[in-house]
Amino acid sequence: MPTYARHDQALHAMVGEELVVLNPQSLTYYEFNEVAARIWELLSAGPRTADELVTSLSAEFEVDPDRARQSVAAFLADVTAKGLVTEQ
Amino acid sequence: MSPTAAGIAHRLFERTLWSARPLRLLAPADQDSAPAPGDVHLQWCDEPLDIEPDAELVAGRRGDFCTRRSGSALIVDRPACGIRVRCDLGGINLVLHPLPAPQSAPSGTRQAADGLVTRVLCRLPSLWGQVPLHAAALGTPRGVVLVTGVSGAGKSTVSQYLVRDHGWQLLDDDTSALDPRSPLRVQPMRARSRLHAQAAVELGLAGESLPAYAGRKVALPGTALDPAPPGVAAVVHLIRVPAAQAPPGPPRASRISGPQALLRASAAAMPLEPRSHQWLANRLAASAQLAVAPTATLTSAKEAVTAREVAAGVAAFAAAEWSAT
Repeated sequence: MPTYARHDQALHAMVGEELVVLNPQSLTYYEFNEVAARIWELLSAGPRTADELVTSLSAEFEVDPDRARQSVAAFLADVTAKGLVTEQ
Repeated sequence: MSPTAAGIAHRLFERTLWSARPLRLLAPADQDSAPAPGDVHLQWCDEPLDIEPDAELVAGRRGDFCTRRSGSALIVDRPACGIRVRCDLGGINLVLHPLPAPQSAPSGTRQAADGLVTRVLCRLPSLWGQVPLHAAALGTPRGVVLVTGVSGAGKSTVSQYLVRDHGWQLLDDDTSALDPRSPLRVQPMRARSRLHAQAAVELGLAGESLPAYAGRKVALPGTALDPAPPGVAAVVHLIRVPAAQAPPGPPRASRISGPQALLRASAAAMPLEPRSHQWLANRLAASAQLAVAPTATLTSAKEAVTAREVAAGVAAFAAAEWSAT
C-alpha cells in the first residue's frame, strides 16, 4: 500500500484559522479547509497510508469511514497532482 | 552631507548605507557615527563589469531589468538607468558599474543613483531575511497603515492626502519592509517621496524633477524620520480601473479574507531572487502575519475619482475597523 508524504519543498502558513500552502515550483498558493488542514498536519508528522489517514479522520471528525475514505482519496489525488504531496 | 573616509551616510530602512557619492533620494543619516556591522557599503566604479554570458538568470529578462547569479554574487542590471550592480549574497557590499556597451544608455551619475535607489536598494532587505513590500507606510495612533498598489495606482498621491486631510504621518510612500522573524513591525525605506508632477502642483508642493522618470515625477523634500509605530493597523490595496469597471458611488473599501490578504501581500513583495526557497519561506511567513490585520481592496475609476476621494475611502475603512475593535 503506498504511503503519502508532504513534498519537502512545500511551504505553509496559518492565517488566523486558515491554512495556506505554497508550491514553490509553480508559485501557486492553495487554501485548505479544516479537514484538508488536518491531513496536512498528519502528513507533516511523517508519511502515512491512506488507511491511516482515514482512521484518524473518521475518529476525529465523527464521519462514516467509507465517506472519509472517498474524501481522503480525492484529496490525495488532488494534492499529488498539484505537487504538494508525493506518493511513495 | 560631507563624506567621511567611509563615505556619505544615508538611511536605508533601519540601516546606514555608506556611499562615496550622494544618493539624493535617500534621507541623510548621522554622519558622525562610525560604520557598524550590518551597514551597507556602496562603491562606485567607472569601469563596466563583464559577466559570463551563461550566468544564471534568477529574475527578469536579459537585456531588461534582471538579476543574475555570478559566483557568490548577484548581478542586477537596470538598463533604463545604465547601471549594473554587483551585490554580495548578504546584501551588504555593493558595487555600481556602468552597463557595458552596447547595452549602456546615456545616463548621468544622478540618474544612475536614482535608479539604484528605486529599483535595487528597495529590494535589498530580501537578502537580509526581510520582506520588502511595494507599499506606502503611514503612521496612525493605532499603528502603521500600509497602502499597496501597482506603480501608478496612486500610493504617493493618496498618501499625501492622508497626511493633509486625516493627520496621518508619512513614513514612506513606496517601500516598506517586514521582518518575518519578529512580531510584525514595519520598517519604512525612508526614501524621498516621488510624486507625479501634476499631483505635486495640485497639492501645492514643490519638487525636484527626476530625469529617470522623464520629468513626469518629482522628488519631494524628505519624509519624517520618526520611528514607525508598532504593529500594522490596516492594509489597503488600491486598484484603479476604467470607469466602466468601477463600482458606482464614492470609492469604498471591501474587506477581504485572511487567505486573500495573504495573496495580496505576497504579490506586493519585491525580491532580488524570487525563486530562492529561503525567500519564499520568508515571504510566506511575513505575508501570513500581515494578513491577520484588517485588509481591504479599494477599487476606483481612474478618470472619475480623485486621489483625495481614494484617501477618504482608505481613512473610512480604517476608522470603521478600529471602531469595531
